[in-house]
Amino acid sequence: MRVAIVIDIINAIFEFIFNVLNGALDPILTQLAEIGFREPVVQFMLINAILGLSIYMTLNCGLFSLANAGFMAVGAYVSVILTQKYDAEFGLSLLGGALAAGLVAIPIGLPVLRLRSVYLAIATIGFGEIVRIVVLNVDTIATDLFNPDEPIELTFGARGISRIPKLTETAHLVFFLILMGYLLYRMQRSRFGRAMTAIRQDEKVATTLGINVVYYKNMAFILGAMIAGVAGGFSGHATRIITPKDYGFDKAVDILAYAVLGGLGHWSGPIIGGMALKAIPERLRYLNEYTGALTGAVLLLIIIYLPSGLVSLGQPSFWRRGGRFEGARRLAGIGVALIVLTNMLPLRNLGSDEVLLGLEYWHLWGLGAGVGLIYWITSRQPASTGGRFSLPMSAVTGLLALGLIIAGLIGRIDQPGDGYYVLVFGLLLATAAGVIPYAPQHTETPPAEQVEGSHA
Amino acid sequence: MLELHHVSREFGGLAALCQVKMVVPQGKVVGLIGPNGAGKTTLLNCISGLDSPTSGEIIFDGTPIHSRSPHRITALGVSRTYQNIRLFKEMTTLENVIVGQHIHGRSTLLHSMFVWPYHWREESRLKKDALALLERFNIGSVAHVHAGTLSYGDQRRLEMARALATRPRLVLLDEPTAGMNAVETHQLGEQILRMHADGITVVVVEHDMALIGQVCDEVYVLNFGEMIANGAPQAVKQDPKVIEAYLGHED
Ligand SMILES: Nc1ncnc2c1ncn2[C@@H]1O[C@H](COP(=O)(O)OP(=O)(O)OP(=O)(O)O)[C@@H](O)[C@H]1O
Ligand SMILES: [Mg+2]
Repeated sequence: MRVAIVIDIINAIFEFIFNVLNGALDPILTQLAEIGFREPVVQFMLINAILGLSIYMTLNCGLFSLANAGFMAVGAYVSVILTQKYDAEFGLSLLGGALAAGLVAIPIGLPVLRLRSVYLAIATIGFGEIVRIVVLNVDTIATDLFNPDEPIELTFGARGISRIPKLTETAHLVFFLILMGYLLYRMQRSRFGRAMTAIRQDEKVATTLGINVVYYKNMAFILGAMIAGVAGGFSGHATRIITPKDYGFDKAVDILAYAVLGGLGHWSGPIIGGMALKAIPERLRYLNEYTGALTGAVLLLIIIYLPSGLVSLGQPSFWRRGGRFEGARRLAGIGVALIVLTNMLPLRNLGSDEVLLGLEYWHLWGLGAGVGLIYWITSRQPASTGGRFSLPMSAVTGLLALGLIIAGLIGRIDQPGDGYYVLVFGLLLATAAGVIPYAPQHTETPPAEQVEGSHA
Repeated sequence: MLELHHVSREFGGLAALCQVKMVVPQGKVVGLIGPNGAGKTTLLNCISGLDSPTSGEIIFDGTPIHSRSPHRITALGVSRTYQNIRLFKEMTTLENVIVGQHIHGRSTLLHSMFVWPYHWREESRLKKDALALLERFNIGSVAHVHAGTLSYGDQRRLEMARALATRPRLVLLDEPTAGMNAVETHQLGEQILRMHADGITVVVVEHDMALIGQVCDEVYVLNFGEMIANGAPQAVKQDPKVIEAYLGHED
């Protein structure tokens, strides 16, 4: 019974903190509620933002891990079980979810993080599947093992856990994001963060500078898992039901797309990317079955014209003078970015076809796509920066984008969502093959190496 | 300080190093020369732990290091530069050196999160030391520039500054003057002599014989993975085996 007392004490502490926060923020919150601050869509945008941070943790250390959906599942189930079965306070259940995800990450990370790039991606997808299968079967196995007379019910198998109390408040999410933002801000300016950046840029050099690569990779993996666990806890308490398939392969790929769309040049990139990838499909819902295809097309346009993601707009290297077609490329990039960002703007009534600046939304879409395509047709040179995009690949992606826009418009892709996942999967493959840089890129050309007598 | 006993490294069937013996005495500057593909870089990789010998022993200060991981070898006091420059291009010049000081920091994630005073003191100490190192290599003026945008010579100098940031007792330099002109090469030679004066032991791989003559106390010659000669720079130059190795390589 001592455990119960401890839980009570911790509960009381959390309750106190939440009450103080709620009291202080109440006037602001009512104002924000007026503009749709408490809509579920907004909550899911913020949960996506947290997921974006979790994948940032790993990618920032050069780890191409797709395990975050699995960790999200661990966090979601553990925290929901804690609140439902054990009446834990919400904050405590989130902490429990995060710790569970972090604990699971330790034995997974030690062997798996020895793998590199695509191999790591594949292994971590495997982990996600294992989590799903465990969640599906844990009840039956536990019953058989421990208590054949009375069925044990924890995860409820494929049916999932239902009637979850809706505890997630937008304010909690904002508070957590601010906390994480602060943590990452501090981290990037610390010895810890610098070691991670060094590992991403050149692992071997990092080790010969005395950095324990295995330790830092595992730390990144565990921290990423814990953040994903918190996101899971929040999302579990934002919907009324969770099932194993909510956290499958789709979700893993989706989370990667946040990082690609937002960019990794800054930790805010995956946050913006995650929010945009919730807002855009929502905004486009009136297009019914074309929603997925068009969302995918936007993602492709971003990859082509802003290969370092939305945050590259904020980096000086983007604005530096470039080659002949830099101007057009830049314009196209800004165009696509504007489309994405304006779609995130009004929080209320997402999903309706309201107008902005007298333009219907599809006008904006057309404009962006048009600028992009014109540039692509006229330039006939690698559209990307960073030099990893070879000409044929850029042509292939360009054609793919064109094809998908046309296919989407004439209605060849019937199933909502399908086109989107096909696209995202292609994107994943391209990333894995090293065609799309998943580490931040700068446009500077490297100095010619080994040119005899070349110097300042 | 550093002893290699019968060190061999085979890649498939190819013996990049074959029974190599080498002794680097404390405080000396030792040159390592040899035609292209002789195995010089492979040797440095084995010492710094990036590669490990298929057989043989490498002893640093009495400690066997041939099966240690690179970061632990660095902690013992070994540091290196690379033949094909490997800077962290997306970091600034200063950050490159500060990363090099990693093992001399103690600040953890928690320190920096809670803005411990200790964290600030350490940050400013590391920064001060790093700037002093940059000044020493005449690249203080570009401290806040991305390393990828530096001129070729500056990149080479930054590599050396970063290697010194770990405060090594043994430095391995892999062709530090490749791509530099005669004046720059001579200046770099002075930097090596300054390391020597500071008591640091240096192993330098070089093709430039003028530099070898300027800085080295002793020279080892590697050819097709075998150590064919060693001795004072002048003596080695006249060694018929060495002349043959270089001439034989020409045709
Ligand atoms: N990772 C590897 N796999 C296979 N062979 C290798 C590898 N690294 C080096 N070699 C081979 O080992 C031999 C020695 O290479 P090494 O790079 O050590 O020569 P080097 O003396 O540094 O030459 P250089 O003067 O051109 O730098 C070469 O024949 C090279 O092809
Ligand atoms: Mg070499």
